[in-house]
Amino acid sequence: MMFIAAYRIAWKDMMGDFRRRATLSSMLFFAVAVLVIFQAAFDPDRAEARRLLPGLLWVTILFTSLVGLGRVFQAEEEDGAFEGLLLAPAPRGVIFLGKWLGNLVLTLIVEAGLLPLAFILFNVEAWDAFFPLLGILVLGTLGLTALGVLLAVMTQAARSRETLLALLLLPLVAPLLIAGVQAASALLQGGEIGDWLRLMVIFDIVYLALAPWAFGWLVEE
Amino acid sequence: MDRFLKLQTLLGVITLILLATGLWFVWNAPADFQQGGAVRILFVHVPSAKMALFAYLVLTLASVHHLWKKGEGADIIAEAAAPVGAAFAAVTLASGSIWGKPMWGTWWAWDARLTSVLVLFILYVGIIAMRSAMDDAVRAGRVTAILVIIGAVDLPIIHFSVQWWRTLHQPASLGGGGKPSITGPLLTPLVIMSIAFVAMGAYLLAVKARAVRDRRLLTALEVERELA
Amino acid sequence: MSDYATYVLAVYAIALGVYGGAWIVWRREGRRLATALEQFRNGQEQAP
Repeated sequence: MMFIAAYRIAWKDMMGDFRRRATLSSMLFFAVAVLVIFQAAFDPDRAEARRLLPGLLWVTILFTSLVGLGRVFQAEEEDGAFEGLLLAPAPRGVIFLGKWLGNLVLTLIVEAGLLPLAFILFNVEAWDAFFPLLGILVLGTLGLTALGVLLAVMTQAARSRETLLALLLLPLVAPLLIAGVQAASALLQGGEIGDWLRLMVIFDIVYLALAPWAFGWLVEE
Repeated sequence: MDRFLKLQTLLGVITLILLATGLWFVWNAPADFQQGGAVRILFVHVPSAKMALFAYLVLTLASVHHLWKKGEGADIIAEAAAPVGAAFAAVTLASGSIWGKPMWGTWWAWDARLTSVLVLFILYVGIIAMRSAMDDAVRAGRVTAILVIIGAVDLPIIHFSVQWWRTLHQPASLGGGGKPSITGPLLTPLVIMSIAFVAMGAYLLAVKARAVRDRRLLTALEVERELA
Repeated sequence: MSDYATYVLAVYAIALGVYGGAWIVWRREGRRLATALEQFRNGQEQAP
């Protein structure tokens, strides 16, 4: 029952966004812009591109998710509907899960587009590793968006909040970034992958357990 | 209130005496046979690193207490502890980097422990920025407390991930080996300096907390007068 | 202090600068606020 409420909030956000094509398209084009900038900055040959790809993917995802996170509560703010959202007949944790789900789906769509695009633009012939690589990205995105949406709530009432969001998110996701890059590198170049996957799972569990609880404290009056 | 000020002054005097004693031992300490005189850097570096972590512990306890009991006192301690911790972390980074130059040949070797402290320092800066970016003081206190708790959960994960990352991808000869342990005649100055730094941390916290408390009282009085 | 003296001195100077600087700044801030608070309270008593 309760998860239907979460699902409805996520659905409302996604449909609203698809209709205006606002967040999703800006995230997608931002991701493409980052890829172009990388190519211009490093101009890697094929071997280098294969080595740099994991880091490139994760840095792009991190910056792109900052674009999306800055707008998580945009719809509510424009209509002044944040209080209305909190009045929804569901526990606060479920409201958080709904918001998180909406952001998660948007980020996953961007990743599904980003990964083949990065393969093509950087001439990386690793199509047989496509789905395992996408799996690693999904695994990391669970924790990344959980922490990100929570920080977006926290910085909502702050001045210069987008800068603050980046300042807080980047150090806190450092473990996820390390584990994600190492896991993807192990996949592309061989090496031990299990430990890094485990680290990502731990990160996901910790933040998916902590974030709904913290959200409850944040919006309590 | 006046008694509290006397206690603070006493703490300051104790800090000075301990620091002077510690420095006297540091001055007379024999040079390490491996590190030579550079071992003297560690007498500042190691206690600073310990205090940078200890300050985060204090910060976390104060934040939990504030969330739980909603007391103003815990929030004042939390607000004062963040810059104190940031100062300790900054000295840890600077001294570690300077120690690395003669020992490793580079200022920065992405040593696991130094990297963790760097993240800790950025976290302290983020916590200070978070509080100062909000106009509503009550809300700022609560949001910052939650951020501190998130950081407290994240710090061990950061530490272990950086540890794995550096030890798996770096030969132990450069940086991976970490710092050698200190024993014998070099232990005495380290212990005294550590105690002195604990006293110094407590004293700095008291000084900062007093300023924070007075600023809040003043703001409250000004608001009161505007309303009257 | 024979070898590496420059590095050692640099570290102790930085520590002195950061800790001593923090102490001076915060103490000055505290004194300024305490004085302002005192004045405010005195003014408050005289006003009504």
